[in-house]
Amino acid sequence: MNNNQRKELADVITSQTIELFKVMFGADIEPHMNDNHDFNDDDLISKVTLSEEGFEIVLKFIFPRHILVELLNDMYGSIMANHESAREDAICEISNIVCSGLKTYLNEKGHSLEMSLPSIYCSYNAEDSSDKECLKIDFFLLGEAFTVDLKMDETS
Amino acid sequence: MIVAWNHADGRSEGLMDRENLRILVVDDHMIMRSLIEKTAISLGLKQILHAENGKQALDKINDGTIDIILADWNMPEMCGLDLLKAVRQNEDNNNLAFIMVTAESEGTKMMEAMNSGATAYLVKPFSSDDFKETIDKIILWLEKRRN
Repeated sequence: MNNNQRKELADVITSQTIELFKVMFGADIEPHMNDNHDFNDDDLISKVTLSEEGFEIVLKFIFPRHILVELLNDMYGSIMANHESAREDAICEISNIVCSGLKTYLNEKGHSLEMSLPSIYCSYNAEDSSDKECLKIDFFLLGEAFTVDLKMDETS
Repeated sequence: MIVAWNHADGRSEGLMDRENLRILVVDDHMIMRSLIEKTAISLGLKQILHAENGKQALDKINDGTIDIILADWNMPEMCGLDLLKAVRQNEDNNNLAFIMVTAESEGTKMMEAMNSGATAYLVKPFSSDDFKETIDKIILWLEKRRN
């Protein structure tokens, strides 16, 4: 991925994510490009794959659980906010909307990408240390960061 | 935002009693079903049913009492487009409004939905104003179809 492609993808993801938080949650978020981020077991991660023949993009949305708790608490109250299934549901819907926007953008530029349904991804593990090209964007919300991590891979 | 619309004229006043309208929200994400329900209630709609996918939705539609379906596109079991096609196969559902509520905003997808009989197409994320505008138009559409 060259610098122009990185910037292009980062811009699409950033604008989609900012709009989503503004419209759905009434929250303003600030993007920040990031190459180093410490992940931990408290993070909740959802994963979406955009793929076509010979090309694949894997996106992960990495949220500290307590950010999701606060968002859900503000919208639906504490009962829903404290259910893990509600938090998982929220992060999957966030990733669904952002990735659909990215897919639309890329397909209108000539790709024929299909998108997987978002799923909860268990851990930020060894797979992520592969040499696939990677882009990480932090967004600051409620004084803390959540991360969108994108990997592109030419498949055979 | 509302990005597509079938059969709207926008000239008549809303006469239909919102409280009596039965809405079916079909989305595999609880958070989105809750958000839509919350917004719908704020618009005076009171009878709101939920389904997690197209198959569940069909069971609820078959009793003939649903007025408006709001369905996501990407769902497990049966997607929103397959649900739309199944609904439109039955002539008894001709006066049932179908809103595709989806993050899919590609022109080809939108055309596919509208050509398959969607009444409106609403792209996520949408604001409460977008949602209100869609529901207002849907109510006008229902009034026109039923009078």
